[in-house]
This record gives sequence, C-alpha cells and structure tokens, in this order.
Amino acid sequence: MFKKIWTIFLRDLKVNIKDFLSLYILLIPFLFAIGINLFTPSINDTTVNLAFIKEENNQLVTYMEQFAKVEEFDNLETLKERVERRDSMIGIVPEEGQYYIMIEGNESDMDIEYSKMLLGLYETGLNIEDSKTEIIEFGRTIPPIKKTLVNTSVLFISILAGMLISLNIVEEKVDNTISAINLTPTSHNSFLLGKSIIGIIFAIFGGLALVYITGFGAVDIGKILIIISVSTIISILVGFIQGLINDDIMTAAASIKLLFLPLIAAVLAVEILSEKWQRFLYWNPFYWAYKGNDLVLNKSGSWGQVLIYAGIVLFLSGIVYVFLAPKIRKGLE
Amino acid sequence: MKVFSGFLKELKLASRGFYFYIEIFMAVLILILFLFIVPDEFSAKGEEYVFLDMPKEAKDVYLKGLTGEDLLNQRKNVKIKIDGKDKNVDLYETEDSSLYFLESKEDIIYMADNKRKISLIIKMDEDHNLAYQYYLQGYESQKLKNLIRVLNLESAHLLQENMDSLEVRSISIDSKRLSDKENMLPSVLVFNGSLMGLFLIAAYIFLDRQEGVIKAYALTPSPVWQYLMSKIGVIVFISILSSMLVLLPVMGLKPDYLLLLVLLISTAFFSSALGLLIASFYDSLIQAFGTIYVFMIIMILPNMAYFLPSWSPTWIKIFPTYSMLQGFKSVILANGDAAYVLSVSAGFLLMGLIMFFLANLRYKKILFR
Amino acid sequence: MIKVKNLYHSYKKDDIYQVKDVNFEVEEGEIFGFLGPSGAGKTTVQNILTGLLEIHKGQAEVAGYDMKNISKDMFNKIGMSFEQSNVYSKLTALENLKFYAKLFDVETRDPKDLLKLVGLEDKANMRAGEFSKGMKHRLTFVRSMINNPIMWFLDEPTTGLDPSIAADIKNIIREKNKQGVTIFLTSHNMFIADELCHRVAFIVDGEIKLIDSPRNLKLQYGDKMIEVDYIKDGENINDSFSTILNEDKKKLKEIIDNYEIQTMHSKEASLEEIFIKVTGRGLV
Repeated sequence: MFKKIWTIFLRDLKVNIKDFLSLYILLIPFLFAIGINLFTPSINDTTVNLAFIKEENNQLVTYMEQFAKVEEFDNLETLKERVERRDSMIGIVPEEGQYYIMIEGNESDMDIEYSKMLLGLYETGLNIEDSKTEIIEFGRTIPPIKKTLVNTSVLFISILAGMLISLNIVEEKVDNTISAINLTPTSHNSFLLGKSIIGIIFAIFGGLALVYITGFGAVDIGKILIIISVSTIISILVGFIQGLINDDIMTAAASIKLLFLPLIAAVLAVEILSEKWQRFLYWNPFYWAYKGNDLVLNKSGSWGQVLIYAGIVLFLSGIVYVFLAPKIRKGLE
Repeated sequence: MKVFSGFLKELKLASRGFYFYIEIFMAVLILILFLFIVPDEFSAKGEEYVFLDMPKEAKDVYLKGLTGEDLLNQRKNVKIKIDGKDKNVDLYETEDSSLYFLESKEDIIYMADNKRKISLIIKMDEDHNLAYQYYLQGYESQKLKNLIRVLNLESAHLLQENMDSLEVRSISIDSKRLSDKENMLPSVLVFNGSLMGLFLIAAYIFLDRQEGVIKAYALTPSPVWQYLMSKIGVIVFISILSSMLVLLPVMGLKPDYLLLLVLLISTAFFSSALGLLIASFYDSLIQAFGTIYVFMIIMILPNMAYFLPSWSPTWIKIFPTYSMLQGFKSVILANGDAAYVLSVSAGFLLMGLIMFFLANLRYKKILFR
Repeated sequence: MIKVKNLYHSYKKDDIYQVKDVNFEVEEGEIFGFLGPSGAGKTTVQNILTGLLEIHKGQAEVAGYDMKNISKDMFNKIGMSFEQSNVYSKLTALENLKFYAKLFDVETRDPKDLLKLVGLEDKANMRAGEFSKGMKHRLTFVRSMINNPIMWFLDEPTTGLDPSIAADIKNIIREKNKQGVTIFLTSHNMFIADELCHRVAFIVDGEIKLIDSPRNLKLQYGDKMIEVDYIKDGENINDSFSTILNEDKKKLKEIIDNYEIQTMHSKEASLEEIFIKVTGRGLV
C-alpha cells in the first residue's frame, strides 16, 4: 500500500516539476520570508511622520526626532505640498510664537493624537534627561507585526498546498485517468493519500522555511508541525473537492480562492477585533490554527494548549470531512 | 461593433461557466462579512498593567487624584487570569486605553513576560517622589522607548491641557474620514475587482486554446486584437459586477460611482492586459500559474502601506496597486479629488494599452500555433 | 470466467433501467463479443463487470470474484482497454506505463516490450500529450496488458485505427487468447467481432436479443446473395438477389438473359446485416 501511495506521489511530483509549477510554488514561502524580513524592521520603527520648516526651530526638531520620523522643508509652501500627498505626514507649523498642527484631512485619528501628544510633551517641558523612568526589557527581538505576518503566511501556504492538490486532481480529470486507476488494486484511500502527500510536504516545507528564515527557528518545531499539519487538512479537503467537482483548472483554482476569506477573517479577528467579536469566528478552523501558531511563535504555549487548539482544528476539519467525504468518494467513481 | 458582438458572445460563454458564479458568490460572501460581521470601528484599545508600589493610603490618594481629574473613569472590578489563578483587579478605562491595577510585582512581571503586555510599577519613595519602572519586551523601537520615558501619569493632566490648547488645521476643506470598515473596501475592490483579471484572462485564453476554439477563430477574417479585447471586456464586466455587489449595499450612494467606473475599468483593463502578456509566455495555464501567483503576491505588498499610512517608503509607491488603493479610497470618500483619480486612471489606461499592444504582437505569433 | 444473472442497472437509481435483465456466461479461454449500437448499454454492463459501476440488482461474477463485494485483488487479474484513451498527457509513454505498472501487486510486463508490440518503441520518451489519437489509443491498449490479465476487457479496441495497426492489434488479441486469456470485447464494429469472437451477444436498449457464434448466426440467418452490376437502357444498375427466393431467382435469370452484365458475385450475409435483421435496428 505504501509503495502505491509513494508511486502516486512521485508521479505528481514529476509532473509538477515538468511544469515548473512546484518550482514557483516552492519559491513563494521564500518570497514571503524575505519580504517579511525586509519590511518588519522599518514597520516596527514607524510611529508618525512629522514635517517642519527648516532652520527656524532646531530645538523642537531635535526633540521630535527622539519620537518620530522627521522631515524638514524650506518653506511653508513645500511643507504644505508634502502634507497634501497621500501618505500620512503631519506638519508642525510655527505661527505667532506658537505651533499648530497641519493635516491634510485623511490622516488617522491615532496619528493626529500622537502628533498632538508629542507637541504637548514639548510644550509641557518633559525631557528624557529628567525622566525617572526605568525600562526593563526581556530581550525579545522579534516584533509582533513579524509574528502576525509569519503566522498568516504559514496558513496562506497551507491553502496553496490545497490548490496544488486540486490542480493535480484536475489533471487526472482532464486526462480521464481516474478510471484507469480504479482498475488497479489501488484503493481509494491510497489514491487520496498519495495525492495528498505533495500538499502536505509543501505545507510543512514552506512553513518551516518561513519560520526559520524569519528568525523563529528557536520555537518548538514539534508544536509548529502539529499546527501546520492540522491546518493543512482543511485546505487539502477543499483542494480535493474542488479538483473533483471542477473540470477545468480555472474554476478549481478560483474556488480555492474562497478559502482566503476565512483566513483573512481569522487574522483580522484575532489581531484587531475586540473580545466580543471573537465568538463569531469560533466556527473557523483558521481562527484556531492562527491562535495555535501564535502561541507557538510566542514560545508561550504549552503542549497542552497547543494540542487543544490542534484538536479544535482537527474537530472542525472532521466535521467538514464528514460532509465532503461522500462527495469525494463519488467524485472518484 | 464586431468587438461588441464578440464581447456579447464571450459574456454568454462565461455566464455558462461555473467560474462566473464563483466570483459572484465570493462577492456575496464578502458583502455578508461586511454587512454583518465587520464592525464599523475596530477597537484597538491599548492595555496597560500597573502596580502601585506604595502604602495603601498613598495608593488611594494617588488613584483619587487621577480619577478626580477625570483622567480615569469607569472603574470596574474585573477578573483576569494570572499564572493560572483568577484574580480580581480594578480596571480603569479611558478613551483609548484600559488600565488594570494589579496587586504585586510578580503579577506585573507575569503579565509582561508571559502575556507580552505593557506593564509598569509606580513606586513612591519616602519623599513621596514617584519612580516608574516599565517592563518591555525588547523589540520596541527606540522612539517608543523614548516616549515611555517622558510620559508619566502625574504630568498627564498638564499634558492634556497643553494638547487641548493645540490647534489642528486641515488643509483640505472637505476632510471626510472613512470608518475602519469602509477603509477596508479599497482593498476589496483592488483584489476582487481590478486584479481578478490577471488570473482570469489567462485562464480564459488557455481554455480556448485547449478546446481548439481559437483555431476556428483563426479561420475568420477578424483580427487577433478583437478577440483579445472581447475577452478583456468580459473581465471588466465581471469586475464591475462583483465590485458593485459589495460597494452598493455597504456604501449606498456615498461614493462617486462615475469616477469609480472610470477607475475600475482602467485598472481591470490594465491587469487583464498584464495577465495576457504573462500568459503569452507559457503553454498551459498550470505553467503560467506560478508566475501569475508571484505577481499577485507582489501586488499585495502595498496593502501594508495602505493600512499603516505612516509606513510608506517611496519604493512601495511604485507598485501599481498602491495607486489603485489610493484611487479607490478617494472614490469611496467622494472627496472631490477627481483629478487624482483621473490621472491614476489615465496612467493605468496608458500602461494597459502598451501591454495590450505587446500582448497582441505576441499572440499574433503564438495563438494559432 | 464471467457469470451474469438477472442484471439490472439504473443510473438514476429509479425504475427506469438502462440495462434490463441481462443474463450470460463467458467461458474460460473464450473471446466473447458484446455488440450493439451506441447507447445500447454495452459500456454500462462492461463497467459493472470491471467494478467501475456499482451493481444495483442481479448478480455478476468475474474471474471468481463476486461483483457485489469487489476485492481489490481482482484488479490484479483483469485488464481493460478504454474506448476513450486515458493516459497522462504530461507523462511520456514510458513513464505512463511504468507508473501504472507500480500500482499492481503482481509481476508486470516490461513497458518497453509493450511499446514495441504496438510500434511505439521510438516514441517511448515522447509526452503522451503530443501523441496522435491513434498513438494514444495504442498506448491505452498496451497499458491494459501490463499486469498479464487473465480476463481482458476491450472496449472498441480497433476503432479509429488505420487498417495495418488494427490488424496488428487483432493479432495481439488472437495471440493472447491462444495463451488462454479470456476476452470480453465490446464493439459496434461487426467485422472485428466476426473475425475474432467465438460467440457474440447482441444488445439493444439494454436487453440481450440473442447470443450465439458468428458461424451459427450466419447459417441460421444468412441467405446467400448475388450482387449484379448491369446496363439497362444505357444506365448502370446495381442490385442484389437471394439465391433461395424463387422470385429473386427468376429476376436474376431475366437480367442475365436480357442485359449486358458488368460484374456479378455471390455474397455472404454480414454479421451487420444479421444484426439488423434480428434486432430491427441499425448499428449507429
């Protein structure tokens, strides 16, 4: 049985390599990882961007540089032009011995409040030198935004794994080869397993590559593997069903796209929505997978907690399986 | 006229395929999410955990001082879990943050270390001077650390007074703001509307090649560009349909729909032409798939700059999706920035035409092989 | 080798059966032709016998296996060549066979030998997607032999092939049969059935109308015919006459006496004509 599963997997691998598909898909985790490494430091360093008029008030600019990204402009006109551009840039403009805050109007409340606070601090005369505040650090270097991006990317890759499977199934359908397989002593389960391997390997490989390259290598790999594996199940199931019910690649790939919705919803819910909204996402396996991954990437999850999250994902996927299994079986006949 | 009848034929074909309905279904799902699940504003209240390391009387005075000045109100007694144990703590909420007052230094360290919360200890020495001890993770930026150093609760009142006296002037006369929910719509329009064509057009072309329809077309006197254009017409049509499906119910008549149409058509045309060009280098959809996906992912990047407006490095503004997002935002805001939207549309139309021209050259050679 | 008793099948699982009360047996070592027009139910019966379709009503046994509880082991013993070639277009001919071979638990044949058998040895490393229709069909055909089946199902094995390749395929079928392989041949082509089959069954509208050997059928139903080309009033006329019916005999004599005969030959009734006679149906 294992020999047959392996044979089916090798065939898929061979075809995908011939099509360069696996090459590109394998590239995606690296692309994600490099992107994340490249952007997170500057994103993490971002507070608010302030614009000043040159020379006139060096003291204020030096003060503000401690807290914000500062740009200086020759005169009011150029400053105004800059503020008017589409990104968030807030002007601090002198007028009759006082300062006012110049905004374009589309800046977020948070940025405006932040600028007000900084200018307020300056006017209140609060200085770092006078500070009696002591900062104790735990020596963690990976910012949360990076964790969020890595976590989302890991789940994204699990969906791509499902897509890979569905493309391989559609190939069987287009060539009409499933009936030939059915006339060999290969059971449906062996066929399904054989077809799944490439997706599972891709999800695990991609997930691990991402985790290592982005500097999360020190997390418990066993735990992350468990979460990746269970969260891939749902993508694989959907991959199969889409591959089997759709006769062309286009529709199959497009239907898989639908999976991105629950993924994005899960990330948004955990990261931005308040407690009371959370229960609206309890049905969503990606929600629990995301939370599980978060614990592992945080290095704060015990085996017990991780297994509970993995268990919930497995349970939800199980429900999906119960619904889809007959359809998958039928599709194979 | 020929292009139009070609478009009608393609549209009829598309409406018989399953794909068409998946796009519509996707739009409906997004709509449901927006109408029923996504809240208008995401609460992003900061949480801080405080331990007042001082005698009880001093504590009371201190807290009273704060509440008396209306800085803290709505005191609540809540239960939180610390190190596996439920503990009753006082919670004070201000407009943008929640302050939890814990009972011991250990609890503070636990919250900071295990829950990654910003935690601080306020200590009062014998001379009634306050000293602050913040627990941070280590990844916080220097700018944030500097800010934490200068902020302290006892000058909060004065700071607030100074802040309130500041004047904020908006240069644009009409400074409408989008709610958090509405602010997500441009992203939806870009990905479910404009960029859809990138993948879809390639799929349609390969499907035709596979079924040999293209060969039949080759035996007619119609030029290739008409065939390609009628395909693009279908994509643009689906883009408009699925975008309107989401936008109309969520935003009502607020957006400037005429401008929206202009931007949607030009961006969808651009991405379809790009998709055509990419697809022309491959023999089958699966082979083209990888490249198209890599393109899609690169196109997602400007989203980060969109949602974190303070982080907008110059290079990210080069990505086409950056202008798309900003353009759609203007349209939804209906802030009268028509000049911007029109110039963005013109840009995409021009780039689209160039790519369409290149694609046409390539397809003339390869399509009927 | 095959036993079918009161077999019914309905695709919609209702009372409208596409296959009705089918009964027949195929002996070991026999080539059994299952003949009928398109849509008659041939493929349905064949799919039931190969386990591709579930059995709804009735009984069927293939190579000693009850088709109601199919053991996967049965597939080691049977082979099937599909009418619509179904090979992986992205794999080469050789890769296709090698892949398929590994799915069996029994000893399989050398893929290269098989390709040689149907003249594809030069195309072994070509992608099946680039094959012509006939080449794909040959590949599908030899693939069905890879596990040395003792029960071989052939669905339209020579349809769409050029005559010389069709002849090769027929020889391979005869050769295999000589080695003791039982063959179940489904076709709407009466000529190949006539050439190869020991016995044939005529199926129309899901029902078997008759089972017998081609020879017996011809003896029973086949009238000898004479086909004549002659010139009458400057016009070329073609006609055929029975050698048994008196009326026909008289007419023939008259033509020979009065007109210039161009060609004249005797003709045996073809299986196709018998089929039409028995079932009242054409074969298309």
